[in-house]
Amino acid sequence: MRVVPARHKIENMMDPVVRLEGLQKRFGSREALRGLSLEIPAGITYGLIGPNGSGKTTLIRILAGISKPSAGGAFVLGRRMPDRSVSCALGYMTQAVALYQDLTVEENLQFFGRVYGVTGARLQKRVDELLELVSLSDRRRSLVEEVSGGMKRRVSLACALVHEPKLLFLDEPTAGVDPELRIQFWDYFRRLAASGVSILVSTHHLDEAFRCDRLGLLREGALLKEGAPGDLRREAQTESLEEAFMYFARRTPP
Amino acid sequence: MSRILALSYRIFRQFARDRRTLVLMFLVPVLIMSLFTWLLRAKPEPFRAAIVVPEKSGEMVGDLLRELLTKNGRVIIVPGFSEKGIDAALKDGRIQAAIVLKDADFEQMQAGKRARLEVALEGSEPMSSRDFLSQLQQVQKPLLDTLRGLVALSDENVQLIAPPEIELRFLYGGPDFGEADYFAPPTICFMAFFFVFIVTGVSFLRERSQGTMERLLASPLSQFEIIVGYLFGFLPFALAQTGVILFFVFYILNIHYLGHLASVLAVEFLVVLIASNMGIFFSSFAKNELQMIQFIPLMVLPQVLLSGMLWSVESMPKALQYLAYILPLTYANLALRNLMIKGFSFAQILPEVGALLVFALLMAAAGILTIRKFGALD
Repeated sequence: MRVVPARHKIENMMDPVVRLEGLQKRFGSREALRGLSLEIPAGITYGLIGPNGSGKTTLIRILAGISKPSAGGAFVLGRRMPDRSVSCALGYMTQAVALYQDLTVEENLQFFGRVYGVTGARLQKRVDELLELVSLSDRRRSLVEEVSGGMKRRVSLACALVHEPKLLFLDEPTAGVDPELRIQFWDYFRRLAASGVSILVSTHHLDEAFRCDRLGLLREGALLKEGAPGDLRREAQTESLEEAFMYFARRTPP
Repeated sequence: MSRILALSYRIFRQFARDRRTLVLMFLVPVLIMSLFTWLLRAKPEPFRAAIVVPEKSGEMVGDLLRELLTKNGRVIIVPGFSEKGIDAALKDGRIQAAIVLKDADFEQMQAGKRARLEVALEGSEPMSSRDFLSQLQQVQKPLLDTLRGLVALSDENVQLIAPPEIELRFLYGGPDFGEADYFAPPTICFMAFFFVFIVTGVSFLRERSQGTMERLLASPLSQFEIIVGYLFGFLPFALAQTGVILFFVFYILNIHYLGHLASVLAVEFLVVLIASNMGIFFSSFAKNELQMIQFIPLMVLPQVLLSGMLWSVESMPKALQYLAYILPLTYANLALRNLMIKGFSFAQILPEVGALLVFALLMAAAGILTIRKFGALD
C-alpha cells in the first residue's frame, strides 16, 4: 500500500484521481461494499455500471466525503476520504434532484457557488455561463418548484459545476430522464471531459456506457470486471454490453 | 361502500404501522395529564414571611400574629429578623414579605389610636403577594379581638383598639403589578423558543428530504459552519419578533417593564441558539413534517408547565423542581423576569446566562453530532 505523505501535492496529472484500496462499507450486518480496489486515471470518463443496490451510490457518497469507509481506503486526488480539503475540487450531482424548491434557479446556483467560495463578479459570470450551457437563461428567475422535471435536472447538474470542479461525481444523472435530455446530458459530459474534467458517472443504462473511457462492473458491492468498453465486449465475445455484463456476472457467481 | 372501506382500511393500516405516532398519541396525553395533575394537586410551598415587633413589649402581638397566620399552613414565619435586615432578606429570597410594627406605632396601638402596620412585599409574584395579603386580612379581626381582650385585662386606660392602617411597600413591581406583567417576560422567550425550534427543525428536515443535505455534506461546509449558518439565518427574524412583542407589550398593553433592551435581547439570543440546535437535533428523529409537529406536545408542553411560566418554580413540588432545572426555559424565564420585573443589571443575571450558555453548548454539540450522523448512516 502506498502511503500518501501529509503534504502531498494534489495537482499531479499522472496520479489517479480516485484510488480504492480494499474499500468496505457495512450498514449494520449488510455489506454494501466488499473490498473494492481500483484506480481511476485523471482526465477520463469512468462509468460505474451495475443494477440497483449494487453499491454505486454508496461508493460515490464515500468518494464525495459524505460517508465513512468501514474498512480499507478511498483516496480522492491523493487524499484519504473523508477530507474536506479536497471538496472544493469535487462536484457532486446527486441521484435525486437536490435543489431548494422555494428559491429561483439563479439563487440555487448562487447559493452553491458561495458555499464553495465562488463570489462576486466571478460567481455572476459562472452563473451566466452555466445557465447558457443548460439553456435556462430565460428561466433564471423562475422558482425551482415551477419549472419542469427536465429543467430541474439541468439546474441540478449546473449546481454541481458552479465552482469548476476538477473531478465530477454523477450519480445516475440520466435515471428517469427522457431520451432527448439524455442525449443532451451526455453532450454536456463530453464537453466537460474535453475541458479536462475527470468524471465518474454511475448508470444502469448500458447504452450510455459506450460513451465512457473505462467501465467498472459492480454487483452486490464487488467489482465484477473493469476495463475499456471495447475490451470488455471483446473478452466476452458479444456485440452488446448487456450480454457482456451477463457474461461476467455468470462467470463470477455471487 | 367497499370503496369507502378500502380507503378507511388503508388509512388504518398506515396509521397502525406508524409506531412512533401511536406511542406518542397515547403516551403524551397520559404524561401531560399526570404532570398537570401532580402540579395542581401539590401543596404549594408555604409563603415565607417575617414578623418584626418591638422587643419584649411587642412580643405578645408578634406571637399572636404568627399563630394566626400559620394556622392553615399556607404561611410560615421565618424568625430572627430585625427591621434593618428585611430588605436584604427580601432580595435574596429568604423571605417574601415582612410585617413590621414599629415602636412608635406599637405605643399608638397601646394608646388605642390608629396605628400603622408596615407590610413589605417582595412583589415579583403578584399571585402569592395577593394570597398573603388576603391571609393578613383574614387574621386581622381575630387578632384585634384577642388584643382587645388582653389589653382590656391588662391596661385599664384603654377601652378600644382601632384596626391598624396597613401600609404596603413593594420591593419589585407595585400595587398595580398584576398577572399580565408577571406572564409577559416568559411569554416573550417562549414565543422565540417555539418559533425557532419549529422553523429550524422543519427546514432542516426539508434539507434532508429534498436531498440538499447531501450536497451540503459534500461541500466544504463543516458541521459547525452549518449550525452557525442556520442560527444566523433565523436570528434576525427571532430578534425582530422579540422587538415587536416588546414594543407591543410595553406601549400598547402597558406592561410593567424595567431593564435594558440589550440585556433582554442577549438572553433572547441564547434562547434562539438553544432552540435552533434543539430543532436540528430533534429533526433527526423525524421522518417528515408531521412527525416534527408531534414533538410539540412532548417538547413544548412540559416546558410550559415546568419552566416557571405559569407558576414560580419555587412553589412547585421538590421532585418537579429538579426536573425544571434541567429545562433551558427555566433559566431564560428567571433571567427575563429578573431583568424586566426586578430591573436587574446584566451582571446580576450572569448565573442564569451561564446556565443558558451551557445548554447552548450542549445543544450545539448535539446539532453537530446530528449532522455528522447523516453522513455515517443512510
